[in-house]
Amino acid sequence: MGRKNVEIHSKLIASARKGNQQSMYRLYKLYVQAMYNTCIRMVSNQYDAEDIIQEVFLSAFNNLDSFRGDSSFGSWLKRIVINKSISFLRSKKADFTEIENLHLVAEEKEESFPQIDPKKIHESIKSLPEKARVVLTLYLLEGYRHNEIADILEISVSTSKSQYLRAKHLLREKLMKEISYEY
Amino acid sequence: MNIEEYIRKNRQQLDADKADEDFIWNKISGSIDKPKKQKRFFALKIAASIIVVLALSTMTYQITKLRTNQKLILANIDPELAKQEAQFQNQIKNYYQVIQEASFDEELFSANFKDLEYIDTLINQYSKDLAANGPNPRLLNSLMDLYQKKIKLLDRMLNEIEKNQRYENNKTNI
Repeated sequence: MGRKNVEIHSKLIASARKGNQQSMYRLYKLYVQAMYNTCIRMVSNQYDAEDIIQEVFLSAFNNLDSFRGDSSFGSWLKRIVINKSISFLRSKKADFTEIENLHLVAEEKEESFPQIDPKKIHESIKSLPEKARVVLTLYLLEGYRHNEIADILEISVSTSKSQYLRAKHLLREKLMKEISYEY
Repeated sequence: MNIEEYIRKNRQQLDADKADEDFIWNKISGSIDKPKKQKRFFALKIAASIIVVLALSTMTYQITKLRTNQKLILANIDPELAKQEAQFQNQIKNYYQVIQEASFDEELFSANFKDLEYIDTLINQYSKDLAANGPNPRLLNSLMDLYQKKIKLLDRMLNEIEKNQRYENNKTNI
């Protein structure tokens, strides 16, 4: 299945490169929801996420020649989403270096986590403080390593780690509180 | 299973937000369509100036026209829903006031104005149907749904207008 998908996508990509808008639309439909969800977790606002996603696809379609197929098209797009989201947050004066002073939260021994609606987890992530939210999204959901996050956000690896622990702790607290309201 | 494992296991279901695909695509396709060649620049500039002049002259007309259905449809049909309707209409009125006072290029929002006009046409149609056939739960729900759609659309327009203004201000500050 994977091989077939790759082939279909490469045909679409080749056609979109030639300016075929129908192919661009098909690529857009294939990826927009996943990209939007990553973006909204990063910026936590529907309107900003819509604007960024618009920019991402425009930029991708205008620069399809720079996509060489070293990674999947989805990963390539995801990278653009993340870069544009971070640029947006920076333009809002989010300073990721501020978190350098954060005290390292000791890793707690975690209890087993109860069954909870993933939608609630998604909403809770969006409500986390900005820096914690971004690090958690990149590490836990997008599979970035701490050294990569450190590079992207221009922070140290230890800051990325401590911010992640803080985010995980806050998220757990929020979700447990939510569960206790339900019962 | 700890929280990390649980989230990784349910990663796909975490994508719970639904992007408004058509709305975003309309903006993307509009920009893809724009000719990039320098040769057309002067012709475009002239065309754009004409459009702006025409747009400004019709803007007041459009906004006035769109405000016409600000009367309570449900007052004699369902007093409880009429309260909600009054709240919706009040919100809509406030949006119109703010939009009317804002300075923006109406051409950029022509699709939104068309959508608003279409919603108003439906509201008027439902209003006639309700008057002719009495309360019908499906019609009432659809009517309230239309009001909410209108509010959402106005909210989005206002957000766009504010964004454009911020962009223009930034440009002049550079």
